[in-house]
Amino acid sequence: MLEINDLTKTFANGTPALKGVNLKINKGEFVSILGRSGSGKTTLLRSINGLETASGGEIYLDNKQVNLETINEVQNKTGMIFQEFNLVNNLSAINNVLTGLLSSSNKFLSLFYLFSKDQKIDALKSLETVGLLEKSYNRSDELSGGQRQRVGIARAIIKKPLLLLADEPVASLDPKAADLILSLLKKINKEYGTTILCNLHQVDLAKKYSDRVVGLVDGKVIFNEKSNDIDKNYLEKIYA
Amino acid sequence: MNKKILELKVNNNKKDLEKYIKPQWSFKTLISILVFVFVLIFVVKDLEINFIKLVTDSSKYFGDILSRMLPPDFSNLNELVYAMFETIEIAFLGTFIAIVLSIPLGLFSARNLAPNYFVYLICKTIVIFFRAIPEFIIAMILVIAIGFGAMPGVLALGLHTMGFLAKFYAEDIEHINKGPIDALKSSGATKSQIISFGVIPQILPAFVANNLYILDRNVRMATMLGIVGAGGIGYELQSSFRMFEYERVSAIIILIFVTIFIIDHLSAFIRSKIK
Ligand SMILES: Nc1ncnc2c1ncn2[C@@H]1O[C@H](COP(=O)(O)OP(=O)(O)O)[C@@H](O)[C@H]1O
Ligand SMILES: [Mg+2]
Repeated sequence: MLEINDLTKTFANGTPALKGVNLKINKGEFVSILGRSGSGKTTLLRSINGLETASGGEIYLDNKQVNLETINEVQNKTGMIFQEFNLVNNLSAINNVLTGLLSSSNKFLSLFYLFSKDQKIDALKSLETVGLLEKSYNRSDELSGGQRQRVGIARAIIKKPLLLLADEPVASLDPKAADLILSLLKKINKEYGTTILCNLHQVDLAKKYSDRVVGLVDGKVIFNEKSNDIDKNYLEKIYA
Repeated sequence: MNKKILELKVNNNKKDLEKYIKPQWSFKTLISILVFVFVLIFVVKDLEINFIKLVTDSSKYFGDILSRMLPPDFSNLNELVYAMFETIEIAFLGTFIAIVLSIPLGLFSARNLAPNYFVYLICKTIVIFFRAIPEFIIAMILVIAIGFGAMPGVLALGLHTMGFLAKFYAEDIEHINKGPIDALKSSGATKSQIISFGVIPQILPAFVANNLYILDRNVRMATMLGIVGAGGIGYELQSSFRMFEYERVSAIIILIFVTIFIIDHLSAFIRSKIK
């Protein structure tokens, strides 16, 4: 479902972030990417949905190569969740969720925040899925960190993506909220069959929630195994 | 992690630590203060301002002008209030024009939103140009071009403060949080959708506060614009000065003060209601 071949990325200032990443992810899998800060996790995810342009290599999503011509299609098939939630603070939760539908909305009416009734129902369903139906019309800056991330998830799943890209979704949260968010992702993975690619930096969380763990060091994959087979001590050593 | 840090060992004695002490006021700060004082003294000398003479003489002159200004002459208050109202209208319309014109200019003179460098440069140049020319001068030119009345006042305020507002907006836009923009991009939003959902909500509180501030400022400026023939209370003020009717001058000044006082409180109230 996702195939990454020899992906490289060097930033304009000369920083090499990815040095030939190879990765295959099957439909319905929950895969965690573990790696230290600066190892290239964020850059890898952002290359998949076109927020960064790769310097070399290929990415195939759903058997189609990701490039400038297919990027709209790719963005329709993927949803993204961010460490800092990246909600628009002055907007209500439901308006934030509706921004997940902008690419398929009326290009003119949407500028004035006008959406169809069906779209609003979809947004409410999405908020119900993450348990925030009651908070739909609260401004997002009135919500707690964990609740904001749930709005972020509702926004990402509203268009029913094949692939969810989660960039350290729990790094800004306390352990309890972190557990809730990852359980929620796991539930979405199981019930909707959504493939999930999730950057994490805690070995135990990765082992607990994902089917497979990929270790990234200095822009290269150095580890790629089923969660059950993981030797936690070994992982913590390469990771710390 | 560095082992030494974790052991919490402190084995520096007093003498060793003394080497680390730096003066609380750095050399640079002291030099800066000195330079500033020097410039101040130079400017006062160069402009031949004599403060002692100013204080001793002023009591004499002030007493004289004050006695001629009192009591304020409110005999034709209706006329004055009407002129004041015209001034407020000029400021209101001028501010509205400034807002409308400054929105596209502000968007495109923000480096992160301008479609290309050429557009950025043109917008930025327009912004700087109109900010550089005081509204008085714009009004004088317009009075010559289109004649006396409210119109030159409105346009002068609109054009000058358009430059101000566009600069404010552009700076606000350049400092927005980029996270939500990434989120919008990742879901395939178009550029105008990104502006509508990612940029505008983030700058809206500052937008309203800036507009109110400019309205407040334009009312103050509009009171003066009449002096060059651009309508409003300033015209009354100037004719009273010309006719040596200082008692009317003081009445007008009081009226201006009351108006500004009310507007100041009103805009502070509105601003406090906006988050
Ligand atoms: N926009 C950028 N410009 C230049 N260098 C960048 C940029 N973004 C990330 N980098 C660099 O790329 C490397 C990988 O960063 P990143 O993908 O954010 O790692 P991670 O998410 O694992 O912490 C780091 O060395 C980082 O400094
Ligand atoms: Mg990162």
